Amino acid sequence: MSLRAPARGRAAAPPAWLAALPALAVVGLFSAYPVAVMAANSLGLGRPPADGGPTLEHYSRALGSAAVRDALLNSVLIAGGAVLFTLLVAVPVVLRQARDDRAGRGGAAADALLTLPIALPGIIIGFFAIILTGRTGLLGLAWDGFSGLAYTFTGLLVAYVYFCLPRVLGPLRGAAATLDPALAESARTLGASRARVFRTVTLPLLLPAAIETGGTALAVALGGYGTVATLSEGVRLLPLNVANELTTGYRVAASSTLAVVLAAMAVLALVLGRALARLVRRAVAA
Amino acid sequence: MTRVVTYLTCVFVAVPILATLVAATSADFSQGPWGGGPTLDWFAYAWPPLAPVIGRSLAVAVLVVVLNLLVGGPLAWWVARHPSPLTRLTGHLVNVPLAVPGIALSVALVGAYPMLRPSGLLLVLGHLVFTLPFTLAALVPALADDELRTNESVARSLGAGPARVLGTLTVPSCAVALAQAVTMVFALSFGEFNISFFINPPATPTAPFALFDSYSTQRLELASAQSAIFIAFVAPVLTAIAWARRRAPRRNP
Repeated sequence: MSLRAPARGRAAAPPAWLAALPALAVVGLFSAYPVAVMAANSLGLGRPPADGGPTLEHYSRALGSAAVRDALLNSVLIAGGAVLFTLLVAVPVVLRQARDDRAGRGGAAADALLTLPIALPGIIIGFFAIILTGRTGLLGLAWDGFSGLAYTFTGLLVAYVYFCLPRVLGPLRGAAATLDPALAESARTLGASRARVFRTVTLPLLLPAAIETGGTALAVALGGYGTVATLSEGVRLLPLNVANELTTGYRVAASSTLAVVLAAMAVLALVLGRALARLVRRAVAA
Repeated sequence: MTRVVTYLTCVFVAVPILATLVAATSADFSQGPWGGGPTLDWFAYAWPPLAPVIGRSLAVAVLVVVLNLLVGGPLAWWVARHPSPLTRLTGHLVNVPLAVPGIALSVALVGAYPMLRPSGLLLVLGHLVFTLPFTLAALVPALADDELRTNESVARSLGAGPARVLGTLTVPSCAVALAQAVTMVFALSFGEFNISFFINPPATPTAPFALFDSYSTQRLELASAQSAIFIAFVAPVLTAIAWARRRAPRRNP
């Protein structure tokens, strides 16, 4: 190893990968290894009380339970619905922000406000839902239908939109800033209507980034625990089941199994988002 | 059209925060906004028990930021300057906590290292692996910048030592990226709840757990006051994030 000359002509410098070693040790020990242990636990290969030899029994039991299947379906519907709705809202917002940025118009306050929820833990967003649409919520005073909405499917969906908003706006804004305004302008000059320019020029260019951002946000929303933990007396989502298996009677194998299922769903969302974005990008370029 | 949607979105984000402030300053929120008259009593009740918890959360967040710079900085440098299949693999490995949900990682961590939980060491390390991807995402592009690399090699060939190159060239030219990394990591650690759920030392919880506890056991007004105090602590950090984000594209148009 020491005989190999450093790539960038500095004599006797220590090998560059040494700089990465502490971080890699931390990541290996406290991220990769625990996840491997979790996967082993779910397969019955862990230490007691998660042992019992290689088996898929934990998975068949988890997926055979109606409560878990309901939570899984709710998770997919709520996280998926929230991300879709957030994307619909975010596209006009980032286009407006890009236009304002190019014109040099402020918007710093709106910018800070729209970034704020990213620094708020999910529990606070759950609490917001209680303040506004809980049983004594503020909006309940205006219309009775709002009281208790926080604990329903709709209420949770709205809370998750709040959660997703900064996570979609941030990356999508970067993509909108790179759009060439000349393209849309020339289409307009050639007589295309505003709606047509959006449909045939702006949207196809923004779509790959929107899909990829959506996949990432979906992964985060699926795993989000704080919001639903605060509103846990309402609709059940899968992360609640993961936690419950440990908090109510330390069932490591069962909890690990659900955690693996949840992680697999999140990874699937990420991978699908990226693959689909690549496909669309190629289709648009062609 | 876009202006209306942007406006409505801002309202959607702002209303719950304002409603929390209203609840926190109402003597009896169940009688409506400022029911029983406006008061600051809830803040007076909320602050004394919350102060040490906030202090603890601040300490954890600062420690996580420092560790990120010490451990993540060199890693970002290696990834930016020595691209190879190995660094790409490293990137995937570091990003594991982005793909694995926090509560799952929490289960994994407490399963692997239960003995590190009571001291709080596991909490800090859990926050570190969770925030490292954000440090890397901010620093790697800045460190890979061609102009910076040229300047560094010119300075070195003129006889500047590594410390001098780092202090006078590398760090200043990565200032915006560093600010972005520091603020993001701080905010993420300060509000972290999911990964912390099973690894947070039970006797000495962090701020989000104090809030979570209040949400299920305390009056709505008191919980609102605590939430408002928490938001007041992250708001400056968030302004810094927004500032760094606005500065970032201007650096490389």
